[in-house]
Amino acid sequence: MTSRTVGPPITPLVVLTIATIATVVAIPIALHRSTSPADLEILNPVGWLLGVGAVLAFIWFRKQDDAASADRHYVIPRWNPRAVASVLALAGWLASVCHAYVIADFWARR
Amino acid sequence: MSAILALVIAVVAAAMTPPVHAQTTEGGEPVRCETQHVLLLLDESGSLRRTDPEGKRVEAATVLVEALSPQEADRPSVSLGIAGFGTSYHEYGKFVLPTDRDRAIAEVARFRERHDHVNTDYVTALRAASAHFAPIEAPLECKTLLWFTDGSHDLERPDDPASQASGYTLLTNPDDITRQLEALVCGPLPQTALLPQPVREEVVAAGFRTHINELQSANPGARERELQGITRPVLDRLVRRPGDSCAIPGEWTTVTDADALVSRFFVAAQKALGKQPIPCAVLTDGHLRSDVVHSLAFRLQGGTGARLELGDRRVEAAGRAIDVDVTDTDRSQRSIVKVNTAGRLTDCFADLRADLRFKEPPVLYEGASATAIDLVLAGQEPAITDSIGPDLVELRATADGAPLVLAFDHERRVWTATLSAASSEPVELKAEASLVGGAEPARVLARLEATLEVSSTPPAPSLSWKGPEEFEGEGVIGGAIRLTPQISVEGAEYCVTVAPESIVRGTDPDDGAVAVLRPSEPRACFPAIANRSIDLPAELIVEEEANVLAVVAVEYSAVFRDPSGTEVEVAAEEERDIARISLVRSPDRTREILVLSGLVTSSALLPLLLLWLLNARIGRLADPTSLVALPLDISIARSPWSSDTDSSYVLSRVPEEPIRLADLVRVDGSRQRWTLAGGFEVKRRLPLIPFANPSARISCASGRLVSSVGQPRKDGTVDAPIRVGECLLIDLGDIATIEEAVDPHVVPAVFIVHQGLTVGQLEEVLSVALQRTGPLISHSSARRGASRLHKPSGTTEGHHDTPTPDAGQGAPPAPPRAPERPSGAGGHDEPPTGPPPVPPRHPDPGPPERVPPPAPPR
Repeated sequence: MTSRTVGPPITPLVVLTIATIATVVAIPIALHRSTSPADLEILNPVGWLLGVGAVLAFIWFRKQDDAASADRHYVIPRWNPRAVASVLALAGWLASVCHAYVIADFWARR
Repeated sequence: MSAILALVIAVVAAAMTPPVHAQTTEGGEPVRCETQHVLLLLDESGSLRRTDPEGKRVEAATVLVEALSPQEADRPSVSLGIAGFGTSYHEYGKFVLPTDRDRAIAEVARFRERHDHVNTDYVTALRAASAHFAPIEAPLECKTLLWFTDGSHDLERPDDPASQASGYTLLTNPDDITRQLEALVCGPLPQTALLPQPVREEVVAAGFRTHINELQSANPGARERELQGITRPVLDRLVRRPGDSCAIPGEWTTVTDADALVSRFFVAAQKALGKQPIPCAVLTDGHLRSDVVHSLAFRLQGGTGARLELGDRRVEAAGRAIDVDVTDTDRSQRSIVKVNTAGRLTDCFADLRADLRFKEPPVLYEGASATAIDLVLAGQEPAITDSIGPDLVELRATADGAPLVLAFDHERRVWTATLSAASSEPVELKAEASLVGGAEPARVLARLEATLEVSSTPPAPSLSWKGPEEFEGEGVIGGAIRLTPQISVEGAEYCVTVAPESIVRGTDPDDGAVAVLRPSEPRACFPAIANRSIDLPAELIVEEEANVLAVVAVEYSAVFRDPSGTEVEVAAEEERDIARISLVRSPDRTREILVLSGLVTSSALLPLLLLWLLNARIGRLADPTSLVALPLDISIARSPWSSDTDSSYVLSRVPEEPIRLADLVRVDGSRQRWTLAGGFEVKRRLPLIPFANPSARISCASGRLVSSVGQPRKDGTVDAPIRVGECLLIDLGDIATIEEAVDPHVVPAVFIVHQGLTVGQLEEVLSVALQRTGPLISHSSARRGASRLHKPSGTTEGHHDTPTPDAGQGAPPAPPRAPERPSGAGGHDEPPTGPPPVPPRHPDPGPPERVPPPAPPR
């Protein structure tokens, strides 16, 4: 008998959470700081890259989680990290789409 | 002629004078210092060992040097003298800041060990400071003595030669000592004095400000209290009683802890640099506009740093004492200055230079019943016509001493006041602006004092733009030219004629004409009522779109018609800037969609592509040169535990001879594909889906095999983990005939192992592989042309995920009920009597609770 259990990978989930929050928070800050649609606020490309980072972190999480779930001691926590990660990745990606729109709008006015 | 020449020379000289710094005197005009002379005078008496054992004075003095050293564009140079006093006075050097900053800090650090003077002689200290400043030709505001002491004039050895120069006499009564000190400092000098004049006279003659910073023990002893009692009456008269005959310009601050001492030195440095204290909330809440700020300084308590927002520029500042220079570019943006920090700001200072001025020179028309005045509070650039509003400042004004009501016109961005009474006498107008925000008393930011003369000519009405201040693309912007009379005259009217077309240009000289302003009616007449505006409809036509800030300037003429019908021309073809409009190109939708699609697609595909490439890089077979293969024949015999419904087999190598190294062959191929003797092949399988794990596909010449690792497939091949290494591959050949074949049945096989094993180890490993693989072949599955994993004795339930087979693990399943081999070699023809011995090399052959995949139907 053994009490060893394997859980989902936490590090990629933390990275995913941070990237998503940063991407989302960058939207209102960039809007506030932007003076004209003809000017590009640096936070927009940064926010887009952070959104890409969120997707990457999600993939990283899934890879690690798939590997961990092959272990017979793998335990799915009650808070369902896969669902949480999916929601976070979707939110981060959608936020990055918002940043992409601002970048595209700026580019279209050049 | 000579007077004109003198005037010209004076103007040229003034223009060539390098930037100097303003020192505001109380109630007077600012004094400008080309160089700020500071003398840092530090106590070196032995009492410091008791009052400041940790050397807080050194820390505070270091902050002072740093605070005096920022590289600001238009700050004065600082000449810092560093000196010590106790029984006598020593000047250790003069340093020009910021050039000699590091040398000055090094000199200050040496004061940590300088505390061996017996006396603490204030008379000697003040006389030496006077001697230091006396030769310097500069106003009082440009010479500062920063004096650190532990607070007690103390003559333990009045007979010391340095002290004898002052003419001290031996006294023991504290009151007598006070009187003697007072006489030496304030006068009249006692008979015994050897000084030429009281010290105070020397200080006044040298012309400097004195900041005394006194560090006291939190719990002073009896001797310390006695000495303080002796000294305080004299210091009180010197710097705390402005009207006293002994007063000198300066201040005296007592502190009891290190941070307060640092604070005092920081404050003293900022004052020496001419900065004004401001409420810190002004900075944290964003109540300051950049056009009036030349530099900022504050101390930070807690937090790791502060971030200053200066328009487009962000300044990351770290450290306890922060000083930020505000550039011309920052000022031109006229943006809000804000400090963001997790810590707390203290001792906030700013070099503020604002002007309170009239937007247009007001004219008191003799026949007017009311006159409107427009005031602008902004930076010192005269072209700035939009004022800082009530969100940042408050304005107060008086006309001939009577308060004036001021209001902020948000459309025109000016402060307006109305002088209601007509007068034939000039009016004295006074106004002052203060910053809002913070609990501290508001400080006057700018003042205006003007005498408004009465004129017989009425003023022209003011013009402004009423309409959008931002426009996208090309087309027509509807708006109006707003005409606002400055005076009220009953029965009188203005008639204004605006040019039928005015060219609108960008602020950048390279921009050229960007739009045209066309009023629909170029002429309008309206009654002369102060601040009652009329709008002249106009169109701003943008013919070619651009991303520019456009200045709308209008040429106009105005005529004033008084009640008697007499017309006076008040403006003749004058040009006025009435607005700044931000023009923006309309977006190219095709380009926008393309860019958006590209970004959105790449934000999804790029990570997937990256993952796939990572998979391709990591998911490769082991290097074939690290492996060897042993071709062999395998005998498959029916297990004695087999039943009719559940058959299993025992495998053994034939002939049962010791393995020779010569039997081993190399594994050919690459990390994508191995080719093995006997027609076996191992290929890498890279899935198209980036999330899936790569695997290895094992096949053989006959098309049907069983392997000690991996899962059999319908087509007779085996899918194994990509990390496949040590494994036994058996070519089952024509499996359909196995049940009819003679038992045992001999089939070709190959065993793959890593290099480096001994022959004995190789035999052990092979023996284990044979034991494991045998049970994988069931009679029924063999008949269907496939093999399957043996069903384990138990499976996990509950919270565990369903475990996948070997994929990703690489460990072959262990036989749960493997028959014991007989002690002799061979053994398949003898009935087994128990479980086989497990070789020590594989004590844990793998998890026993694997759920076997269902055997695929034939």
